[in-house]
Amino acid sequence: LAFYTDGLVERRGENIDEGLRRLQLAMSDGNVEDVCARIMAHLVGDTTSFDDVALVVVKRSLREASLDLELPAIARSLKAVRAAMRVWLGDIGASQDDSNDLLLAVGEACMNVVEHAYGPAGGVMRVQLRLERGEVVAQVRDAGQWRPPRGVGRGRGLMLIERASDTADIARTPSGTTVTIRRHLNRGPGE
Amino acid sequence: MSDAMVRASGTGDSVWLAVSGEVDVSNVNAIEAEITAAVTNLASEVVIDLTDVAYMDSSGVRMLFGLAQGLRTTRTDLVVRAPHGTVARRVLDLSGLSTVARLEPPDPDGGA
Repeated sequence: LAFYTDGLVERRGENIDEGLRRLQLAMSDGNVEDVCARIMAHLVGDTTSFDDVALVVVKRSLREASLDLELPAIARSLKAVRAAMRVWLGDIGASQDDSNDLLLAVGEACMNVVEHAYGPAGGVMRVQLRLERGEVVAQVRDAGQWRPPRGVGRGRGLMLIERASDTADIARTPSGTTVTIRRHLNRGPGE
Repeated sequence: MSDAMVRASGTGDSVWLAVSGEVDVSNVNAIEAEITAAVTNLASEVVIDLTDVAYMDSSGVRMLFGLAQGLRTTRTDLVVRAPHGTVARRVLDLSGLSTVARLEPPDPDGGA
């Protein structure tokens, strides 16, 4: 995607379509700096422009579209999950409220894995986040068997997962448990 | 272990504790120990300030519920300070802490 000022494509005594065609031909896939340099060389080159020329090239990065973490199911991993999530949520432009609620919902799901999924031998947890049409879909998986929450107040985590997300689904199978959390970004407080 | 800090001040009657940083299951027991160590038998009010908490999950909420219960038996008031818009306030509102402790500032609608 290219944003530009008219000085890039307009030439005196020439139809603007000619300039737009030149731009189209110069656009190609590649790293944005190379694309910028190629467009400037083809459309401006050595000619002295009579107008200011500004060009911005934007490329959507597929890397930003998902986050995939695999960590040991121990309490120390929770901080690492949050740190990685904060970077990813910043990259996708999530608001502070959206980020905080997603950190909480995913954090609770991860804590359940740490506390309930495995016995003393331990295991791994996998955290995947992806952005789908303005909605963050987060999945927290383990390969263990959840024990029911024990003790007073231990069910609060599941309640927080539900309240901090749009939908939360827990799928338990003999080979493990997957918690899927969905939340649309940029929900206003009144929506 | 996640990083959090507890600062205690106040004397005798009123104890003020400011928690900052991240509170999760990896450090919640250490934080609880610091808080309970700062609360003397003489205290009639304990204020826990969570304004600078960057993350708190249900393990922190569980600790606060337990603390409220423990202080009730000694007739000590528990005030939890978490301004609107802070990370801690959101978690406490979702958890219903206002049913067991005084949450400051109160909700605008007079609830809590």
